[in-house]
Amino acid sequence: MKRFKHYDACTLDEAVSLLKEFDGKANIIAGGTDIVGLFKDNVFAESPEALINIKTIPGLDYVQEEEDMLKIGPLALLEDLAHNKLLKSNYTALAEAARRTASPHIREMGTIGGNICQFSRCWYYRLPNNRFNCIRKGGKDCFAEEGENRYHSIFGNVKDCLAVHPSDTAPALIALEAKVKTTKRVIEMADFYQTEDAKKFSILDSDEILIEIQIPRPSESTKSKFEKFAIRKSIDFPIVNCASKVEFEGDKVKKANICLNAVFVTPYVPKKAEEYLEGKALELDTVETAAQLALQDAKPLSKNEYKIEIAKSLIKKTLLACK
Amino acid sequence: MKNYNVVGQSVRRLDAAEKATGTAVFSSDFTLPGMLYGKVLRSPYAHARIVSIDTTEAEKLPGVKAVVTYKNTPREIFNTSATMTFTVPALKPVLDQYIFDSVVRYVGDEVAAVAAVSEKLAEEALKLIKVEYEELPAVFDPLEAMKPEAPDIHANCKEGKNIIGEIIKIPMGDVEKGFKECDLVIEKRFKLPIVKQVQMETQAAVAQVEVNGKITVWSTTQTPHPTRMILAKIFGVPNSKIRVLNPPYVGGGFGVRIGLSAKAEPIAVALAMQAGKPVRVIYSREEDFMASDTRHGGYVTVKLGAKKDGTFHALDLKAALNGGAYCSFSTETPGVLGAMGLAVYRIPNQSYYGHSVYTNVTPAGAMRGFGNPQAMFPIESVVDMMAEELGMDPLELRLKNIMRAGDPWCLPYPCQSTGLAECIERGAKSIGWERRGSLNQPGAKKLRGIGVGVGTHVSNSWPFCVDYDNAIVTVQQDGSIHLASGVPDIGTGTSTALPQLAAEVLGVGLEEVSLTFGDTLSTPFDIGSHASRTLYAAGTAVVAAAEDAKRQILEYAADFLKVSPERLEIKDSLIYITGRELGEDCAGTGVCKTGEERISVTLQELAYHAHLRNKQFIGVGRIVPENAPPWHAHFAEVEVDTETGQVKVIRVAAAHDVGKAINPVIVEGQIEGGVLQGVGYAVSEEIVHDAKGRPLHNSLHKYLLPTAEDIPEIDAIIVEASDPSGPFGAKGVGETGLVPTAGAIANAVYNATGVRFYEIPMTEEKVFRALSAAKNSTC
Repeated sequence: MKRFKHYDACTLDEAVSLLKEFDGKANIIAGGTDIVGLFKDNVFAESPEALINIKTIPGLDYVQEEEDMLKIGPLALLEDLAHNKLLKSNYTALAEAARRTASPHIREMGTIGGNICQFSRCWYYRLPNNRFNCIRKGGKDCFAEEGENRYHSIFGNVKDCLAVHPSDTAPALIALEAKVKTTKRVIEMADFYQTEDAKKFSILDSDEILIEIQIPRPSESTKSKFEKFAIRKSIDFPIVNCASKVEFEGDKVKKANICLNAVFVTPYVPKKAEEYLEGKALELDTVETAAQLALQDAKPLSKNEYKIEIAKSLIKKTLLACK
Repeated sequence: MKNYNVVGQSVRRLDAAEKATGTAVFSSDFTLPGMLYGKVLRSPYAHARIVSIDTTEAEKLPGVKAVVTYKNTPREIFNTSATMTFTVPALKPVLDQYIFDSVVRYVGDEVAAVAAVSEKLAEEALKLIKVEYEELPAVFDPLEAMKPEAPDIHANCKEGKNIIGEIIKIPMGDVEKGFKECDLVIEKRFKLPIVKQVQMETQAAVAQVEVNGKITVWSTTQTPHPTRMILAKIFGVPNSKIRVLNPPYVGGGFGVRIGLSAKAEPIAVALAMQAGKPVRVIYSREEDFMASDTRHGGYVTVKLGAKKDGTFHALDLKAALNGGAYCSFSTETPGVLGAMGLAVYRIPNQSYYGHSVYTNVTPAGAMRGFGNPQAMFPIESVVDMMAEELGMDPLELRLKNIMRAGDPWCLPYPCQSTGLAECIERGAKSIGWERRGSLNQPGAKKLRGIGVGVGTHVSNSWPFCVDYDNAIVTVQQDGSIHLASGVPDIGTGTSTALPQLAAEVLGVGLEEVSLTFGDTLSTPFDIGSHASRTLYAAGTAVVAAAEDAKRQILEYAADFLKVSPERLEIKDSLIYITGRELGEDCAGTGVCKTGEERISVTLQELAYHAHLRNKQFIGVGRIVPENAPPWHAHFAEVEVDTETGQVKVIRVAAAHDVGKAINPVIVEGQIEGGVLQGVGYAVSEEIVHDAKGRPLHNSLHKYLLPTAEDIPEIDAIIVEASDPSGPFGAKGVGETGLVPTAGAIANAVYNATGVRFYEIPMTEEKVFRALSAAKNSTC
């Protein structure tokens, strides 16, 4: 493990100025369940020089409903979100996504902010001692393309990277139409991930910190649901996960939001399926068609065609559960 | 059935309190004053020559006390596994490893090691070692490695290209003629994955070298005595100057350290010799995954012939296993695969041809079941196919053909017992076999199925390997009992079950017995814990030692009580005359009237009486075990999600003939743990490599071991077909829990879906693909 500097920030301003000082060579640490593993395994050729701890900044772990909006501090623990009564009843998909993340020990440490800012879990990217210097790390190759790609993207690559995004909570937040507030801006959660710069995953600049998640309160006639497919019941990252939110008008769909994850480089919103559902009743054949439309553009790799069927099955399950 | 006082009772494990409170000592938390920390530099290439290696910068780093490479360590060739100490002549063990070599043969192979005052410094020093490699062509599949154009991985292959040691051939009857006489013949080839033991404690050793040259090694070995012999050979030191011991606990084994704990011991000793200080080497989980023995993957072909009435008439079994970069147990594993594969059914014409092949992946060695699971998934699949072809119930077909006590077989010892028929009957009842065929509604997307698999195993390794045991029972001056046995307790409950045997024989309470184990200095030679042998074989020595001590006690007591020894018995540490009622006797009170006629005496009083007259009762047990077949039938109920390809194991009924359960709860624990390992083998566990031989499954996160939440309901059923050769009728059980599991699960998947799998694990991807292919071929 590389030696690094560690700072306990007392305020967000202090954390931001430290980030500026290290000019891209420092990382934020909160729960540490992702980044400590990266350091321990020497995943990067050059690990960051410093970690800036924001757990020491008071008051960033709140979950509160204000007017028409649920506000979540970035340090809210996954375990707390999983058991929060308000979330379970009104923002169901998020509570379920938090509950299905990792294991109890990790949920007690891991934060919602960390979960949406986490690094890739591609096994080539992640192999200790930087054994595969892939595109994400400045190399030239994506090893999954011709290699063991059973867990990789079914919607093609971005800048040649086929690694999927592993977050369970991100698709729930996107389906719930959340916004993300940072030290610089407020943007849609659906726009939080980027594909321009292969070395990072979110839009966050090197001196920018996520400071709040804002979810509009769903109407009375709205329901949401999250489903995850993994090989084991605990610990595993998703093979595919899916969050759906449906707002009804009578028995017809007024608006549907669907977000898949672990199927593409970023969370994947199947727009055609969402549009198709508008104005329709949620019957077996409509969700079947929606699932077909959602996966219409899929182009599986040599070993991951099975993920298409799993994705369809999760879309159907989550939609029907919103009825 | 005979009534016993201690044997057959589920007494609480004697190590329970220590382990539950975290005070039990393991190699990984063992420390010595002034101890240094060792770290190993490993090869990034699957096959390469070391052109140059420069350690000067590493040596200069303050806090670094030793750096070792092939240049400054013994060039004594060895085999990390105990095979080099117990191969039976005229066979010769394959020796193909050095502590470090100038050629590396798999990703993870040892290049150098450093000892420093902290782990961090040792790691930093590794980065300062400059190595120049010349990459060599590499090969990863056993069939590829046998082709003429494949690179030679070692120079010692006499039987064929990259074939390790000798090809095992087991002939019986006339197979060619046999197949001609069959009405039905089925032949299929199966592919098996590389999997890992994933024992809780990684490989670890602490070595201390004294000024006078004496060496002490605390380590995770399953075989302290053979490990001492290996270290003595490597370092050119007499056996008697080396002490190898567990401290005293070992966090699991499953075969991964029969012999050395990978190379933890010799690297720790080499570093300690150079540094002049004790050194501890603990493998990280990643090192354990990539640089300690795996289970053999590879290819197994089954050809089975039967008569119209279902009588099996000919069986031909072939195996080409992936031995990895060094031999380890690669000559014995295909042997056990063949011997066990041919021993389950009564078939007059049989043959086996099998061997391992060198490749550039992590060496394969011993893992629970030792070749037997690799035999039984294919065989039980083909037996199931045969039942379908014949239109017979798979249970009926098995019951018709299974071995019976006294039947001739290919093994060099007699089949003296079998409870397999009872296992099949009780397992079938538990799973609800009669529900088979009516589990699914038409059009259901989740399909249920039930399958069966059966098998046998060994209770030790004689006569395939050198296998003998010694034990010493010492009656202390206060009448309490000290037992010394050289076997370790790798978590299997040995340190409870062996005292149970001694207590039963001697007629004392379990609390009177204390055990010293797993230490070459304070215990007599014992081959160690492997081959499901510990209770059966070391237990036989314990019984012999206890009987010897008992004989001495009774002879002395006979004098004391003035009766013949045959008239005496011992119960609850009281020696009394058979049939005489115990009345007003003063035994145990210490206050006897002068001239009182004694009719009993406590062991405490007798032992002290003897002590005052310069005598102690010391029983010695020295035995060569016979062998005995444990039997087992597993029944699995699965649910296959036809949309996602996921196979869920819902329930396993695991019926095991263990001869006699000395401690039933421990036996059930062994069965349950084995079943779970078998479930992982069938549906999720595997280590795959990229095109350059780099393993992708190298951590507990990526390697898909079932978690606590994934455990199916397991009904562990104990069947007791007593074997005359074992202690109180007991046979082996340790390895048997996963022998038939994968076969049972694969057969259940077939029962659910109509799709047969010739390759495990049955992952989501493979199942989905197979189901799609089946769908497309029918419409």
